[in-house]
Amino acid sequence: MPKRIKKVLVANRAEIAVRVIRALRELGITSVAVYSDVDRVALHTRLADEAYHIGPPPAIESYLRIDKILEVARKSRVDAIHPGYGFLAENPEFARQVEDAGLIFIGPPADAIEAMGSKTRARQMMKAAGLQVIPGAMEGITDDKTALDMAKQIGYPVLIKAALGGGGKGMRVVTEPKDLIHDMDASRRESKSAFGDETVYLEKYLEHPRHIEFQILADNHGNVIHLNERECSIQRRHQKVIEEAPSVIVTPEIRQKMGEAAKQAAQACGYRNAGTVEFLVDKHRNYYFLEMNTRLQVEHPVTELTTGIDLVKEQIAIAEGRRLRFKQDEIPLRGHAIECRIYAEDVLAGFLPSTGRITYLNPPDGPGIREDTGINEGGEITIHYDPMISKLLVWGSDRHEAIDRMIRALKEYHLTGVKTTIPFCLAVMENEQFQKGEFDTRFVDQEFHGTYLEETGRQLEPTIAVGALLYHLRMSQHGKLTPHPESGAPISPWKIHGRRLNLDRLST
Amino acid sequence: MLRGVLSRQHDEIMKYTITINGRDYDVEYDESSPSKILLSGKEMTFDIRQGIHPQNVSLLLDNQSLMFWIEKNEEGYHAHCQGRDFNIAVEDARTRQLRSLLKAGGDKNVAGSIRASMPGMVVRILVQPGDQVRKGQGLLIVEAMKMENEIKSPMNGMVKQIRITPQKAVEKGEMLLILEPEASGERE
Repeated sequence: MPKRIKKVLVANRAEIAVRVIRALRELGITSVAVYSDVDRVALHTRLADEAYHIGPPPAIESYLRIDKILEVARKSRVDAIHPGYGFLAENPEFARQVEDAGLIFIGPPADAIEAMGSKTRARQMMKAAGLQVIPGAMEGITDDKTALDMAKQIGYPVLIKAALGGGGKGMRVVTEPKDLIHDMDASRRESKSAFGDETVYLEKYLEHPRHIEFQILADNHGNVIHLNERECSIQRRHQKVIEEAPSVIVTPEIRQKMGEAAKQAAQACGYRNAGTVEFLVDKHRNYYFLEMNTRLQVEHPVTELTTGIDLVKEQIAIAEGRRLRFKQDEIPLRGHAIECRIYAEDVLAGFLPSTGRITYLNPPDGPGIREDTGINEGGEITIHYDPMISKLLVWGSDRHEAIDRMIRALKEYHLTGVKTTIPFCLAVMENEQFQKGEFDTRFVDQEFHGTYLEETGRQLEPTIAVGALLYHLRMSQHGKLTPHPESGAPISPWKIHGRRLNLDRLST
Repeated sequence: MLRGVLSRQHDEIMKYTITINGRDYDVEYDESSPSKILLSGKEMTFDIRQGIHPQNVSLLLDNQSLMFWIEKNEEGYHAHCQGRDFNIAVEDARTRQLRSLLKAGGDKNVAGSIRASMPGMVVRILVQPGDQVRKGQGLLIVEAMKMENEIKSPMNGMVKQIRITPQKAVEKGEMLLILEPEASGERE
């Protein structure tokens, strides 16, 4: 018997909290936001129907505080909690406590989160379910000798991964034995800091892999469907920056095969709600199970644009106990969608976070554009949270149109105050290899050079030189750009007359 | 006609060099002529306006329309236009000449100080005062936004002084440690 959800606490911040709140509003469900000290005027806090303070800026003292979030849930009398992505989204303890409190967790069961949360356990489980996994360790490695032996056995380069990792954190590629121990220690520290656990393991580092993932939906009645693939091979620091659907290398036959494997993976761990099964695909089109993400993905709108299905609303319907509204053969694949993640990062400094206040913000619009943002003008990018500003998406009738549209949109995107990945995204869209669809996860390292950014804007430079000089002179002298009458500033008509006489005299 | 004005009132014309992403552009501007400018010696008509945000600029240069966003920073200006970033330095002819004279007098590189390129937390210091370091060698690890970043030595040299302690937050631009550059020709 479906239970109608009437009020939801969104246990997150920024872009994804805003995304969820918008779906709730469209469904007529009351939304409850939580915020830290620095997020009092953040977009999610202002947009929600209710908002509750949960602590100081560091996430560990606010957005990761299960007790405080549950206290707000009780106080505000919500029926359900949506975790978004990141923070507590893949914390089985959180899912468990939410259910123990008699609330609905809008996500998978705690057991599935737990099983897939450990990459080593997920590898064991998927191998048993008949999926192909990447060669490497099936459990955590604690001593140096085992690490060196394992790396030697699978062959360099190897990839160090945090068992509880995600988002590229704790991950390192090692090409030579001499770096292995040093890098494993660094990964352990990073993993400890980000995930509270220092278990790391090794995998073979596949050459020329493409990252292709399948969106799945599973209801509480045993029905599982997939909503096609997304390609996420454009990565920096092992983190996705540009995603698209469909993938240029996925034929209907491959889609059907990989889609079935993804559904099998979901069934193997007793999955429910929305999830993503990630694969690495080698140059021979062999695919290996990489991991399962037991939450809504950052890049989920790419699927929404090409299927027309609102994944957050489906999540809520599933959480209410409803049956899936679609059968597998009813899932459309229409046109092409691309997402560019706009991060506050200094691309030329190696994608280092760029903190500061957004002094000007004017995102693009017009045909085929979707922008999911969590920040407004005046908002601040701090060291406390992920530096993603927004997700810019386009839809086109084919990949070609989508790329041209994204180039147009990126050129229209105006944001100042922090450095962003906009110039980088533009360089990728204009890259020949990307346009041809011939790329893999090493694209950024191989194709991308900092000097490229400085070269491509070259034809604009002379005009900008003029603009910059005029700005420099007039702002320092007059405090504004148009000191002459057109500015509308009060000025004596006699003065104009006199000036005109002067000009006449000079020009004769 | 304007050329006549420019040549007659010579003291009003100012010559500037605008450096953008490392390339120089010569612009001449005459205060008494509110809509004409010389770009690389070519006379052009301009009309420049700004929005509610003063850094939001619309320029018509010989009717070519360009919209850009410009802000002052420590080095000069930073502009954003059509998805690209531009680092800009504005210099008048006199200053430029002066600087080139000064430079010829001896450009001493004493840049041995390592500063934080972003705010974060010092996780670990990998060297000690007195250590010899090679270019590219890790000096310390700073964590920001949950990512560890190894700060590498930009030169061969010796660690002279460490200015920070582990597990302490650092601000952007804060001095982390001081290196004494190795005299060229020695070792290596």
